[in-house]
Amino acid sequence: MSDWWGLWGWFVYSGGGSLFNADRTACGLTEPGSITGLQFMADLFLGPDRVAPPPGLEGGVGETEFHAGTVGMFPNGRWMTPSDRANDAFDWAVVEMPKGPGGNATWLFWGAYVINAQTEYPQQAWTVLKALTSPDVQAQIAALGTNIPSNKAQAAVDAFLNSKPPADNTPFINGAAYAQAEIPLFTGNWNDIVGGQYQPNIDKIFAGLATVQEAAQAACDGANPLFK
Amino acid sequence: MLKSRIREAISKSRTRESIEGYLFLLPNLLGFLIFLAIPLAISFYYSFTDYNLFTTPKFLGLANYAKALGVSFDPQAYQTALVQGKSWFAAVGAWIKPNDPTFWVALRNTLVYALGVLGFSIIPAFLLAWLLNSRLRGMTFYRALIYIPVVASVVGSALVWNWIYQQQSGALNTIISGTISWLNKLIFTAIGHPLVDPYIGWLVLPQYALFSLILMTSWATVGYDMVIFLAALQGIPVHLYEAATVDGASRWHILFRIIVPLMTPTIFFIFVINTISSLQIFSEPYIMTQGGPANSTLTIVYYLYQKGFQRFQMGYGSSLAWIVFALIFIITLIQFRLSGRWVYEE
Repeated sequence: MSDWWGLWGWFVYSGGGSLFNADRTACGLTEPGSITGLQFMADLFLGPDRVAPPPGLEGGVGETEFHAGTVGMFPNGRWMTPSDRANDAFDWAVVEMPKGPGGNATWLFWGAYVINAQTEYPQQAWTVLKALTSPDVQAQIAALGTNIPSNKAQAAVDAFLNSKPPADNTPFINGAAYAQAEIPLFTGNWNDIVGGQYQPNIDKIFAGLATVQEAAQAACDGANPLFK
Repeated sequence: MLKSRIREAISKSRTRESIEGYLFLLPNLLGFLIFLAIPLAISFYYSFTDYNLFTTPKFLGLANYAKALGVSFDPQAYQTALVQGKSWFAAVGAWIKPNDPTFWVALRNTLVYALGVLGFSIIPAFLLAWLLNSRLRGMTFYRALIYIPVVASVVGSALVWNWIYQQQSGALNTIISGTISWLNKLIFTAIGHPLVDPYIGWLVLPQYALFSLILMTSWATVGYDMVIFLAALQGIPVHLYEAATVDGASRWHILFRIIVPLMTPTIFFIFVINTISSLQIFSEPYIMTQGGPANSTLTIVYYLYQKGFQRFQMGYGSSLAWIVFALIFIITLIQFRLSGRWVYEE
């Protein structure tokens, strides 16, 4: 897997932890569930049974190796499935992520459209928004594998459910029941906290330069003053 | 009357010349004002504000500078570190709490990078120029070969080096693995101590990533430095070599007693230019590592890019830009002040 936060974050969540505390006002990486998940991840990649090279910008395995047929499975987002579908060298399918001590886990991503309250062109913006969220356009976006429809109209929902980035949408539909939506509900500076404080310390775990406890503590020490 | 008319004609002619002069200057002047002077002034103003690109800047005074450069002290942490058996140095590290620790990481990385590039580019460039300053056959080809990286774009070079550094199938690790395998077959397996393939994660492990960038930049810089050194070498009068040879000076004596002293102005020029460009390093970490892993290649300009353009903290980003300017200015000033001690001026 790559070192993208969505993937190491999945281990945190499936271990029973969270990136943030319950009201999202502090770092949650030092919570027992988070440590359990991160430790499982570290053991998986760095322990005696290391199943794959640890992630890094070019380390780890992913799309390229999967297409080359050198790895059997790898975690990724639904938006990558159209390019995977173009690969017809072998049969492949999507399944739900394995269940951890914290239960099932996955992320929920969606694309929200907003209009600036101070815009000088509210009518024009509204026209663009209606076009973007029309069932036709939503169907085109769904075919790219991205975004749950922003429009609740049945036609838009049907277009999404019937789109086939992978042949079988069931794992994604099942995932909606337990998916975690971190970013859209988080009001702090995501890049400062997750990119600036969490990620460098997670990198240290993968590089073997810090234990899970040390990295989680350092990440929270750096991040907590940044929560507003 | 006549004098007055002549004066008037001269005056008109001068005014017209002045206007023409300013018109010729105008395109460059406008470019300077629009793309340099005004943005610089605006950035200086933003450096004293909290500004996210979307709302009105809020004046903060020196707060951004204090955030970047300020530290506080935690005596409790110092005592705790000592009780935990940590070294005195580590305890002092715990005692000093920077307001923005990441800034200091970026500053350290930038200084280490600049020192590394100076060492890995200037010395090889000087030796190469010395070697190539001869009339052997094919010398023009070798000089051109070494200069090629200078004309290659940073983006292209960085992508090629990304492949060279790739841990699993990169050229560098393939060569190292092949060499180790060959040496093991030849010697080490037979004596019972086979060498272990280090399988280095050049860009994925924090302990190697900055060094990898230093190596790549040095490779790209050596050609330029070499050409400048070569030009300076060829400016050294031949009679000095002849006189030294007649006096029985060895090749090394000629190098250290004649060439190096006469080259010191050029060495100084290269030193200053390389220092300034190294302290502004951005493209390589941006393309190759995005400042990672674990902030090991986070340089100060890349950090200000993150702050300003990725996290929309334009005020803080601007203050970092002015801190980089001050840093470069001070280091260059020190270099000029110290140059009197070692640069030989005729």
